Amino acid sequence: MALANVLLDVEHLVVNYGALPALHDVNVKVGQGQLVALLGTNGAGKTTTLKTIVGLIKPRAGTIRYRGDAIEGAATYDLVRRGIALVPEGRRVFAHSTVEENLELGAISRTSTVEIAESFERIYTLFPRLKDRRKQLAGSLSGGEQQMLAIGRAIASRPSLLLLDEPSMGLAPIFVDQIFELILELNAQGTTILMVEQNASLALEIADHAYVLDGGRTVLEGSAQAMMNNEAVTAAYLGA
Amino acid sequence: MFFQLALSGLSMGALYGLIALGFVMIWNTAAVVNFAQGELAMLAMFFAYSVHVTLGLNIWLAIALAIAATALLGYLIERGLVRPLVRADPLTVIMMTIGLQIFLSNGAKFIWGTQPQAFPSYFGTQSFDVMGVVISPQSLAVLLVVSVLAVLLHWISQHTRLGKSLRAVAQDRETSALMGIDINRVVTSGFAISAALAGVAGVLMAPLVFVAADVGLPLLVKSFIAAVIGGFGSYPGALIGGLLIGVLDNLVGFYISSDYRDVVLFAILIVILLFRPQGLFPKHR
Ligand SMILES: Nc1ncnc2c1ncn2[C@@H]1O[C@H](COP(=O)(O)OP(=O)(O)O)[C@@H](O)[C@H]1O
Ligand SMILES: [Mg+2]
Repeated sequence: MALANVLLDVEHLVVNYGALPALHDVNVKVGQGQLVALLGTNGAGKTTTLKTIVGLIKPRAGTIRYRGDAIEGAATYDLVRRGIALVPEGRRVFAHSTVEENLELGAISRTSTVEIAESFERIYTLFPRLKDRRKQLAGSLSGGEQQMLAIGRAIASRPSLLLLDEPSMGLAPIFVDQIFELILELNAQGTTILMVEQNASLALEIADHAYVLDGGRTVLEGSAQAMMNNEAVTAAYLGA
Repeated sequence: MFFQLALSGLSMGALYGLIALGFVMIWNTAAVVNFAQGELAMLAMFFAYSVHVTLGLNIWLAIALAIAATALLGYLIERGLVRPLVRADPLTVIMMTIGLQIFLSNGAKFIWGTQPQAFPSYFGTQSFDVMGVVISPQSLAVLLVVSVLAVLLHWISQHTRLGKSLRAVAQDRETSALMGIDINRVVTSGFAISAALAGVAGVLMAPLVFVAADVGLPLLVKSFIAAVIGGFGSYPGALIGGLLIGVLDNLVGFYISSDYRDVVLFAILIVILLFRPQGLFPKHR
């Protein structure tokens, strides 16, 4: 893929959990402003890839470049301050804190109160439900609302690169549609997105480009359009 | 007599509660049970003793130095002993803090000797008489200082960046990192603050007890039980647990026998673990 402006460039990534290999050779490029889908069956290594990009896991080998700088081995808090945010698998909201406190934590790396106020404004416009429930404990929200909160919390750090790990997992269909519309909107507003999804056909509908992982390796890549039309691909890897 | 005993028990209990707060803070942020917590209070007493009694410097200066030195020690313990073990087996970390407890206690014996020392009351000696209940100015000061500290800590935890970070890390370490929180820094701060709390407890307690190298272990046991009674994770629970233990300890000592103080304390602990293992105030953060 020839990309004029590569924001994230992952090359030959190798990751182990202790002695157990999880990633053998993962390659992913994300251009500035793109919405890229990372697909693959359960256990393919998608979550591991995202966690390694944000520095939660240290890679064994390979390079990760963000805005051209090598970032493998950088601390997570540092990467968040440099503009990478991850919405983790399973949402992981702070259940014993209120909706508002969760969003404040999302903004904790920001120092400008003007910026923080702007972010809150933007989040509450995108998710009016969160505004209604801002004094409620996050643990008392429905799954869909928690996912909105997890995304809102990530946006509060004003990321340039947003990583999403299975945002539709466990959600009722009506929420899935809402979340996907929202992801498109965030992308349209200028946030670059790398999204992991089990629901491949849905992901390909909104993505520009897609990668398929299998057994810890990147085995396929192409435009979302081409992937969707490739029946061999959909049958073998996407389970659609 | 009952009220007299209850009142003096309250001020010792407030100090157990303060040490227990530190215990809970370290447990919540680092998932470490710090068995050296009582020794930090003991060391603060000796630091203050050396500066004030031995060197003859001003008492308030001695207190400030003692608390600062204890906080620094907490910081060093985290950096030097806890952080290198971050990926170790929890049992290894427990062995380390037990080893540290023994080391500090024996180290204090080595430096300051085994002879218990009296520490002068620094809030004056003129006791107050309130409706037949006599309270020493030191005990009254303890209750005031601990109350103010409790309010201050609550405010810090609700309104400052550090406080919010401490609460986030207590809930979910990995997700806190994803918020841009520097986990290592928060954990180090947690250790320094909880050591400082033990330091405050130590200097407040010094005039109420004899300063000796072996006071750390009983303080550890009492504050540990206070933390468990309080739900091991709850700050208000730890304070209330401390107050309960302080009062009970005094009442048992007088009405039954001081030989049975610990027996009753552990009996209560066992009963609570059996019937309410989540503690009296579970997970109130
Ligand atoms: N914490 C872990 N410890 C050990 N192995 C793990 C851990 N997390 C994931 N794995 C293994 O790594 C591989 C990739 O997992 P993961 O990245 O979670 O896949 P995906 O997100 O694509 O379902 C799997 O074989 C999984 O069993
Ligand atoms: Mg996954």
